[in-house]
Amino acid sequence: MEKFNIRKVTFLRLVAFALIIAGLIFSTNFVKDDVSANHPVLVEGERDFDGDGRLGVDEDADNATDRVYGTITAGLLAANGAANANGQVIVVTSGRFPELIRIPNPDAGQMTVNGVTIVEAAPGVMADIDAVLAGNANNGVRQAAVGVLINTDLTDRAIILRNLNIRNYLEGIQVLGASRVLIDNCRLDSNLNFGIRAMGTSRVNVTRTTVQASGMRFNPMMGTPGPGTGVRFEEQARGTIVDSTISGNTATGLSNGSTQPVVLSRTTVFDNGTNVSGTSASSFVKLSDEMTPEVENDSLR
Amino acid sequence: MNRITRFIVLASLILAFGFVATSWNTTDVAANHPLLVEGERDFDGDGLIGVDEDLDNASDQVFGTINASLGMANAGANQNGVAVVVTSGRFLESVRITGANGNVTLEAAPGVSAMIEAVRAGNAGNADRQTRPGIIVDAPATRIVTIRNMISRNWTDGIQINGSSRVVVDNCRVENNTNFGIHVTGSSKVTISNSTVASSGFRSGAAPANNMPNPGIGIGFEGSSTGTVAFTTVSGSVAAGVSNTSSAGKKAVGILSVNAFDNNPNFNGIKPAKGTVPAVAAPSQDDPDNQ
Repeated sequence: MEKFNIRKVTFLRLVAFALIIAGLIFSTNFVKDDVSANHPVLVEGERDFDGDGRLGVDEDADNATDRVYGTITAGLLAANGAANANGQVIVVTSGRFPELIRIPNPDAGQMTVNGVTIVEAAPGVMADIDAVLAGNANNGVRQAAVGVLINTDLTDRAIILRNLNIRNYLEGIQVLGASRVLIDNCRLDSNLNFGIRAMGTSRVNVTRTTVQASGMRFNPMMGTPGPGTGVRFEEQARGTIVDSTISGNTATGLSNGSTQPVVLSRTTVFDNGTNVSGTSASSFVKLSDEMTPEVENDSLR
Repeated sequence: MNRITRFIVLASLILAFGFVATSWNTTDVAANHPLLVEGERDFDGDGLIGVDEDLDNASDQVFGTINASLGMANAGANQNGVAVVVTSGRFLESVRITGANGNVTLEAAPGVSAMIEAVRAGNAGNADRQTRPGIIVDAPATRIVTIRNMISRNWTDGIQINGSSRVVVDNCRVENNTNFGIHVTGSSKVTISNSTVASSGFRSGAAPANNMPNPGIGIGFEGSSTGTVAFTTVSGSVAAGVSNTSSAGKKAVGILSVNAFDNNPNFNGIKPAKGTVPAVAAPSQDDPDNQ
């Protein structure tokens, strides 16, 4: 009897061990699937897209199979089968997103960009990434932070932002490291210091985008613009700005403090403190002949 | 509970209520937040649209009319924030934007048709509305007002910009307005891009409204205003397509890739830049040497 009991205990231990191993293998594969990701995930705004009755954080946490989320941040992370900074995060119903978007998101344990990462609103959808939501307790924290922060030294994985509204942050979009970024059809306004700020050795392509009212933010935390520039290139960042509008910024519309050139073409630059400035005349590639004539800065004509 | 205790409890409740009410009000006035506006389809699924949606509560921040969303009641933008039209619809209202408390953006979500419309069949207010501008902006120079992806039709002026306002008009359609499509006055500064201004001065029907064009200009810069017009079509105006009579002179208005056609004339007081579509109907008016 005692011998049988010993065998039974041993058998149960073996079963438990086997279950643990199986669990580890399963979870490892699952995580591996997530990391390899490169799949599209959907993000709901303020209208239920998949009809499960959930919105926001509830949609983030419901399961790992629907690949539908309620926040952009969760869509970019790894949990519940999300993109894990490798794939396409598509906002499919209009809504307001009071979030701080980080690509990658080290504060949430995501230390690197795992592949080409796209954040976009579907055509016909308004995705308003906004620091302020009436009555929200974290308005002040968000207003003191960058809205969309992209920071990677990996040059083989582009980050694409498309069809997004970004407003009321300290800086709308900040690009660091060697990031390769396309900002397409976005609208940035009321960001206190910069609409778009490119630093490091990053390369930033801005198309069909409007950057306005940088340095003009009114309440709940008004702040002093520092400096209130629309688009700024620094250090060794370079880029292009095409088919865009830069207007009504407190300081400079387009400021190039980088050692690298910036191409400006078919873009309206109007009604800024200074429309265009650079650290040296050679820092800009010649303005396109199709540049809108400057109304207030005839030196550029 | 003795009288003193009851007094203390009552006083505490009154103070607490006052604090909450004050805090809420502060949040509202501070505004600068985005709001959603429904057109003729219920976005939030509460069964309410129009004025009923305006009045339902202060927590959903969803409205049924544009003016209510820009007002203060029920946690509206209070002229400081973004009003986003999220379902298509007709808005029978003359919209006033003052930017009294901050930057204001009025826009329809991509793919949404938001018509600021003076006329709707059988509506009692048609005649009155047709004597007014559709969107009136009169904001301080310290604010930026944005009007994006909106349609304005059948008014006197589709969009009228006054005072020292600083305005961006992007991806809008403005048509069938008797006096001006976009009327820029005062010392305002206006950036117009990706828009269509058509049939200014041509408005028919809906009697007894006065449909006479006065003058029927597509985009007009007056006073000491300045601006730019880029990637925009201006056509079929009774009078000039783009007119500049600003005291700031010819350089007051910058033009980039503007398709001006079938106006009378296409440009007045403006030197078109490269990329501007050559005029067909009135070629002499497009010759910079003739300006």
